[in-house]
Amino acid sequence: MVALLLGAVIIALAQKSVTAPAEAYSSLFRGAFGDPSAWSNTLARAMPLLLTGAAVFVALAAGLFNIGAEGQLSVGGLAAAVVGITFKSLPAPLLLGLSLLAAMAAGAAWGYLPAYLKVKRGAHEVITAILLNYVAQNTTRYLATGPLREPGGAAGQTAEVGATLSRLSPNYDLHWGLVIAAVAVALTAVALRRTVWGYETRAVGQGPGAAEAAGISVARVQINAMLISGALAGLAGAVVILGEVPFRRFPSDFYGSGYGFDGLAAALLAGGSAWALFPAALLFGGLASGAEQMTFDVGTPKQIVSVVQAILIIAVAARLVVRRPGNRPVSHTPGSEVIPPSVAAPEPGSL
Amino acid sequence: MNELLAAAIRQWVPLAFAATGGVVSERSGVVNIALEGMMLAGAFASVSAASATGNTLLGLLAGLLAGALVGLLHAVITQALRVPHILSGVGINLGMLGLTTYALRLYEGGGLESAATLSYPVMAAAAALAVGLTTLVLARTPLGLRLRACGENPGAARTAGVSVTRVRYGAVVASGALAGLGGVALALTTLGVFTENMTAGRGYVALAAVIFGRWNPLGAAATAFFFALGDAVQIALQTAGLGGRIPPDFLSLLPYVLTLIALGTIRSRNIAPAALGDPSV
Repeated sequence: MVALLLGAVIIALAQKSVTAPAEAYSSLFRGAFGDPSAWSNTLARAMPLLLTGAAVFVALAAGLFNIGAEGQLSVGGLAAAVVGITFKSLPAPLLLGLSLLAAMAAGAAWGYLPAYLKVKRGAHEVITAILLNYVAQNTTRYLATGPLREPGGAAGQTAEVGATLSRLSPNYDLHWGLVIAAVAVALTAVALRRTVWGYETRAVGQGPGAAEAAGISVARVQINAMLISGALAGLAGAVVILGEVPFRRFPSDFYGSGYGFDGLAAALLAGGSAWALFPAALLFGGLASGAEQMTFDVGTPKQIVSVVQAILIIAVAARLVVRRPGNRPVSHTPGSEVIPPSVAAPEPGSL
Repeated sequence: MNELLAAAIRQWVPLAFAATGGVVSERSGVVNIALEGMMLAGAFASVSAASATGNTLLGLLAGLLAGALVGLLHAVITQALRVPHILSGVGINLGMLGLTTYALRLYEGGGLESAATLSYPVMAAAAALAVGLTTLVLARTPLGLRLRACGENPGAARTAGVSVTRVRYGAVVASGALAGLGGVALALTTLGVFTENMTAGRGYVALAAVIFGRWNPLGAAATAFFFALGDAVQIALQTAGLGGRIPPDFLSLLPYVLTLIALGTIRSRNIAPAALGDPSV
């Protein structure tokens, strides 16, 4: 609410009109939830956010802030496309499975690097992951415009993949990726609550010192969490490439889709429960699909939505800190159940 | 060779301003990954003001002020609202990218350009001056001592009668002003154009320079020069026609990869301010 209000103030000031925010928001809402096709757009946008949200969520649970989801998503999408193009002769279900696996492996590898640098060298994962995002952006762009470009095809994209995720209904753009994403979120939620792995991960996230003292290897748990986190983000890249209609080939500007960063916002909004990723992803999916409508209808640039998201992230974090009962200004980190210690109070020397 | 050096200095100036700002903020105990958003705000405000008034000095002031304002925002969010510093930084960077791009799109034709530009040797001298002055203030003045105390042992500083909150507010606002000047140097010195996401990660590279430079303005500036030289070599290789053999996308990776290698090869645990990221007020 606060975020939307502040966004309205910005729109009113920038466009020098009191009615501009109302027009912009009503158009935004129509574009997000106004009719079945708006809902379909919103769900299509929310689908990758479920996966990138789950990716960031798993890392957060282990006390790591995975700001690299966007990069992991890009390399995952590229890996899915490469496999989908190279092994076109394989039967479609097998090819599809291989593509998804390749995407998860690529994303996991990209997530492993910041975890390794943190655990072995003490470099903060936020900085290294941001740098790796740039590396992913440049590398995928180079490959899609250069060596992997479709011979004789349009500039800046690869050839079409051999097997795609089929649609759930012929009338809308929703496809099986939505099911994959929902299952992945449910599995994440259950695994974090009900398995030994989940227990160890949460123990490390809530207190690495205590976890280490209890015999849990913090380094191992954090590396595993980032491998899984990267795999989920990579999978998000694959379902977008293999499912969405404008894609099915890897475009050179795939990095920058914003799915990784929106997933980050969704995970923060979800707070302590992975199930809350569903409404959070729906909200950000709605904001994204509504923003397009808003730009189209009233010309308000869609980037205002990033501002609303930023305010939302900070407002949620502030509320977590302020509301906690018995919150005393000691070095114990408030809100640490959701906000990992490495973010709340980074180890000296890492940032 | 001279051209290479000139190009390196050109790349160095924005980084040096931002890295110096990063040192000031982090030595007071406030993690500052918001440098990126501060630079972006400074870059946008400077070109916007200079194109509206035709006066580069006003542009420079606007950039400085915009950076300081973003600094104030970071200070309020981290100190008054006690949001973890990194989250505040992530939010600010996302918000500033959105806000500047939004504002850019509202300009006629979607372009923002200023005919008048600042001379870049002057900005380079100013950057060197900022590095020198910050070193002096941090090392030799009571203010610098208080600021460092807040970053090393806020409890002791408080006992000695220093208002930790006030010092940190001041440090983060100053940090924003410096990073804002970095944005000015980026946007208003050469072409006088603001483009979408024009900082392109320089704030993060500057922060890496702070870490690698051991939270010392001179060290940070020297590291920033090393990164700038990498960038200059990449530009020189591209213009020298190697673009055909080495793809430009790979060459532009050079600064990021260098930074990653730098971060991967040092362990700096015992050099950082002891209370960096300290959430207490």
